[in-house]
Amino acid sequence: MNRSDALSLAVVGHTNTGKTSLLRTLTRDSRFGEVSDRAATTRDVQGAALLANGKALVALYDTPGLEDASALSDFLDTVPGPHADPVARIEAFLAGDHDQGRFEQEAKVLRQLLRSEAALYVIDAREPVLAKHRDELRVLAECGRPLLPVLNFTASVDADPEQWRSQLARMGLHVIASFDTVLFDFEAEHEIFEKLGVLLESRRSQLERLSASRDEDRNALILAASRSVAELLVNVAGLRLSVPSGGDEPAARARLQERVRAAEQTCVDTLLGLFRFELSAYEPPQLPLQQGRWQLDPFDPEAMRILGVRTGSAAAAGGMAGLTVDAFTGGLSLGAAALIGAGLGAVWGASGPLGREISDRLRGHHWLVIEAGTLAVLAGRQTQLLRALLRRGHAAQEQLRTGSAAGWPSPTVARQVLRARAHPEWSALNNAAEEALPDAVLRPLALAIAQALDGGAEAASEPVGIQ
Amino acid sequence: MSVPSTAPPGTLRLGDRLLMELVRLREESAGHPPHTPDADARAIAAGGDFAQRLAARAQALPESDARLRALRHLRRSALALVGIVLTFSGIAGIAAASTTLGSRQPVSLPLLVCVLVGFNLLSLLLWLAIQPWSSRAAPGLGRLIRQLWTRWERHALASSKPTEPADSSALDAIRLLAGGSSGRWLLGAVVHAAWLAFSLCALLTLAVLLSVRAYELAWETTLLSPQALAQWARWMSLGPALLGATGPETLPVDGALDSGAREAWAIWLLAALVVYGVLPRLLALLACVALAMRALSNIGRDLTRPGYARLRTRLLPDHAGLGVVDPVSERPSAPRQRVPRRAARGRGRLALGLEWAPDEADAIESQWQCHWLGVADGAEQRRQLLDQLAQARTGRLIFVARATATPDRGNERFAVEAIDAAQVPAILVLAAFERLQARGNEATQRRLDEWQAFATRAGMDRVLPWCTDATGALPALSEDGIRA
Repeated sequence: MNRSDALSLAVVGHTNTGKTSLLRTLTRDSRFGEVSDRAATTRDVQGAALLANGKALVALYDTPGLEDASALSDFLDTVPGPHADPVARIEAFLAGDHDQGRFEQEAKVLRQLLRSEAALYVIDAREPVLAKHRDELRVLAECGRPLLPVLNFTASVDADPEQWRSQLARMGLHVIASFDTVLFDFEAEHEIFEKLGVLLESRRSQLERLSASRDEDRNALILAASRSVAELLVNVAGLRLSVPSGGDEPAARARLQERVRAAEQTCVDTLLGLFRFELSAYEPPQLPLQQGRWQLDPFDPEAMRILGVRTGSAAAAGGMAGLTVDAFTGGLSLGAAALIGAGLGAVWGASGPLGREISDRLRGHHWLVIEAGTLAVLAGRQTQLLRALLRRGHAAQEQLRTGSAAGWPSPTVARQVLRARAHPEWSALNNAAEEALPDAVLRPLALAIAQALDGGAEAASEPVGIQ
Repeated sequence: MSVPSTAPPGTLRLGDRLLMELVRLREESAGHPPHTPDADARAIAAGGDFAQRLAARAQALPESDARLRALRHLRRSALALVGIVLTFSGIAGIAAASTTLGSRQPVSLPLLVCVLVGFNLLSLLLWLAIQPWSSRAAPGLGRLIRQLWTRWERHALASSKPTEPADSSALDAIRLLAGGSSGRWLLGAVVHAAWLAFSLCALLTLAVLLSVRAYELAWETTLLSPQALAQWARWMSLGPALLGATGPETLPVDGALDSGAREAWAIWLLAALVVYGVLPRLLALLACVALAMRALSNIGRDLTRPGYARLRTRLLPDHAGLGVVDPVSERPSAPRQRVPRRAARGRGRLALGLEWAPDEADAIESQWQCHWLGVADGAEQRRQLLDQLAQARTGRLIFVARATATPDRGNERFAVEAIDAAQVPAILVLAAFERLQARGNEATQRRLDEWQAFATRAGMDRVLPWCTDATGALPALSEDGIRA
């Protein structure tokens, strides 16, 4: 792999401002370097390349923190060299013994900066602007490389980014990015690359390519995750279990519920597998799971209550009539027959035990299906998990309370999933070996789920009646 | 691009994509893709886009040989089956043409058309009629073919021992090929090809027999009136007329036909077979093949499927470590000497601040009750403070540091120099301690430990936390500076 044309960036800054954390976040690699909340954790210079389509576009180098810039600044004044050319003076300093090794750590930073095209100057925005920071910036500026200040910990209550911005502006640094390595925000990553492109005109297309590639990766991830949620919902919605009249209905019900639980766990496992990289990131997202599982059973009324799903109607009890029409149409018009069956089943269910009795005796068997409330629970909490994985947790909490779609991520999702109840032939759970789920059903639903993740402005407008 | 790409995106052959899909089905049913470092490394080395890497990985997996064998076996079996079907249809066409023609003299033209074209056309219309519903039957079709295949395999390979993965690979491949819409169009193509073979063979047989033997041809009817028969003949001639064959408008329909009329009707018959038998089936075959190709080209294209998406970061890594480029220097740092305890040179106490911004420093100074020298911020101020300390006669030196700051070497060096200059005992007060506590117990303890280590190295006697909010009187200061 050719790394020579990668844009090399030194990540510099005062000690303990989160330089290594920034690299870990950008590389999504929790094992990069060493991180601790104290000074001088990083003592060597270590690199990591950011790839797009296998090609290294940016090489980041983590450097030790600057700890004594004021003294270094004084010392540099004593280094012989032309005053008109600060870079030559820095080079003379690096060629020397760094004041008997006193500025060894600082020398590493400056050496790496001279080898790089630009630097990200990481700032702990919770700290006040002190003289030592100005000294640091002065020394770094003497290396003659563009500096992009990156404000870290901006989400903290102690942070005062405005003060930093005004002070940096006084030092001639007007292009500033902010980034929180603890509360990761994908957009902030974009901002860094975008602002680097402002500083490094000739590298702009390269940085845009990197951004685009990271976007593509992320979108592919979101789409794949939404797709597995969609698969779960369509499979469960179409799930049907035939019970002969006089058969052991409680046992059949338990079997049906067991299939739903297994399907949900498969979906959770897939989501966790898809986000393996995110989960191994520095400061992984907080998930609403315990040991990779939901705490509450999807059939637990408490799970519905938490998601705001109303329960308790006759049709929601789980039994629904089907028709024997299915048998003699030879599966050809299964969907249509089941649709009729589902509709009649609801009527029979609503007319009480007598109606069901009659319909059972007439048809010899009936179908068990999953009620809408459980579907809403599944949709609601898988989306919640997905939001947490994407670190959109705060928005999710708020929406759950305000949305009228009771548990459903959005009315569109609700409509499409409820439609799938009339299509048992779509459900892979009915005939496990079949790859029956048509893309024409799955794709729009996956897209609707992906859109609902973004906050779903439509959620409040359109009420969905779920009984 | 420095990455060698084997082919432009989207040019993966069907075989490659089928192999990919077989791997995906296996891995999805297992729940997660297994750990396959060798295959992953080969896929990354092969380069290209994600689909190409997936294909390369599928080929590099140890089971790929068995899978490919299974696919080849399936292909051979399918081709053989199609060959058999076509052969039988062809034979049927020959048989139908020769028996109808040779049954008796004179040969009834309506009968010939009915036998050679009627059934064909009827079944084609039937097929067209069920098209709107046949997509629903697709899964059932796949299941049916799989069951047939399993039986066939069990029967045909009773003696030899099929390996397990190959066996399931063939079934998975049938599921992929026959389960979706491609199966429906492939089956349609086979059916149309069979009828095409029937029609072509019948056409050839007719042409040969009519060339080498003399047949009596007649428009015969028992039930229909001559007018109705003539009307039928006119309708049926619409197709042959397109090919230029003359029909009932010039030729006689009833009565004995002379040799000229027989020849013209024979040509009409062949033209009717082409127009009603061969051409519709040919068109249907082409349509089915095109639709099947389109359906097949979608196999292995959807890379958002979980089985693929989970491999994305493995095959298309978004970062790579570059290693240590400037290692920790081995130069031994001079062992720091423990600063000896000093005695007070006078009474009172002097305080100076560490790590304060100017506005914060003012607030701290206003809360502070003893002599405040200033904040050591920047080289210039530090030099001034050191000069002042060298001349001061005091009992104790108090460093008031911002608790949330990270102690660094710069501050440590200054503290050592300041204590050296003042030659008195010193303590460290961590002011604004409540702000550190707000970051949590763990963070507080860590930072406290660090300041403790800092104080020890700098030769200070002790570290005192001080909450500078409303409740925060300096906790442990006594008359001579420090209590105990």
